[in-house]
Amino acid sequence: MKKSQMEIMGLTIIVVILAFVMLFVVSFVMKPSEDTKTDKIQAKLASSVMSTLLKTTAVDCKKFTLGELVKDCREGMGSYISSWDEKDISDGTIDRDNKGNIECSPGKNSCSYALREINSILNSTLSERINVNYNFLILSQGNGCEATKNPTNVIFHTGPGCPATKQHECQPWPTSIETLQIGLDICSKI
Amino acid sequence: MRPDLLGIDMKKSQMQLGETMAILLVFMVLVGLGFAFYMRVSKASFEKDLKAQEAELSIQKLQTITHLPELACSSEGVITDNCIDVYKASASAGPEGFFTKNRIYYQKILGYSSITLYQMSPSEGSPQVLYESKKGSNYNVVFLPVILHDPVENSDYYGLLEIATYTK
Repeated sequence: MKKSQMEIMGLTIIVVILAFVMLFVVSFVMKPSEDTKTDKIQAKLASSVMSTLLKTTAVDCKKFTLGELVKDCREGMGSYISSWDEKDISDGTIDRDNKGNIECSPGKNSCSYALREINSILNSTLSERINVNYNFLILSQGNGCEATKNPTNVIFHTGPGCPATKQHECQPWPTSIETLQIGLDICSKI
Repeated sequence: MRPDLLGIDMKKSQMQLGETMAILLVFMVLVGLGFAFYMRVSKASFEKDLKAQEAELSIQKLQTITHLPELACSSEGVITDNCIDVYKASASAGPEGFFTKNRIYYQKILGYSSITLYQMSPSEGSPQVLYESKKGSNYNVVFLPVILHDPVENSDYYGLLEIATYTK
């Protein structure tokens, strides 16, 4: 009787220890990680960048907003869709293509002006000032926000890229031809 | 009772006592190790949480700033989200600005922090320090892109609001 009571006591102690261990493990598993909180900050940054960027006035282009110029750029392309990246801006290919209906200055139409300005603003703010990596995309025939995660039909792409964990922000941008998908990924520099 | 038997009993109970002591010792060592590990992990986790909370607090402050009538763009009394009036910003910046002149009042709202406004488009302008109340050398920096509205030119420029929140 005494021995069996001792055994029960021992078992109880083991169960209590196991319960504590489980509680400890569960509290670590359930706890939101630091990454989740950093993600919130980067998500806020991505949404603010996107909304601010498209409302910015193009002072040297008849005071249209960059969003309006992007819309005009797509409408000026018609059925043939061009594809550019930041290399095409630096080597002047985008100027030579001369796409878009609005002429901002001689030889510089809406596509050239808007995409050059977007590239410059993103580079000076995200890369140089805030020190994060990013990936900016304008897609044609994008089927909702999911399209910007696996992009095809890219009209414009810029940024050092985001191979690691990223915060994704996307905005549909209607034009008279189709609805463009504008996407921005933001991630920490590794 | 016979003394030899008494002697045998005592030895046995001593052995049992020794066993119990050894088990307790091992148990205490295990508990100590577990506690040390837990303390180490929870300290690291606490520091991470603190930094994240400071960052969230900075974002809240940024949102407060962009909604202050002293800075926010407004049309017919309606405040525009994420927008700062460039003329209001000029009036509030620097040592002669009203944020500095009324520092005691704004310290209740903005605490120990430095708030700087950068104009990024159409060209990069010099940074404007809107508010500055430093405390210590540890701070946490958060950025928020904002629209800089020029009501005279009726233009919107791309700006960046930086807030450095002092922690200790």
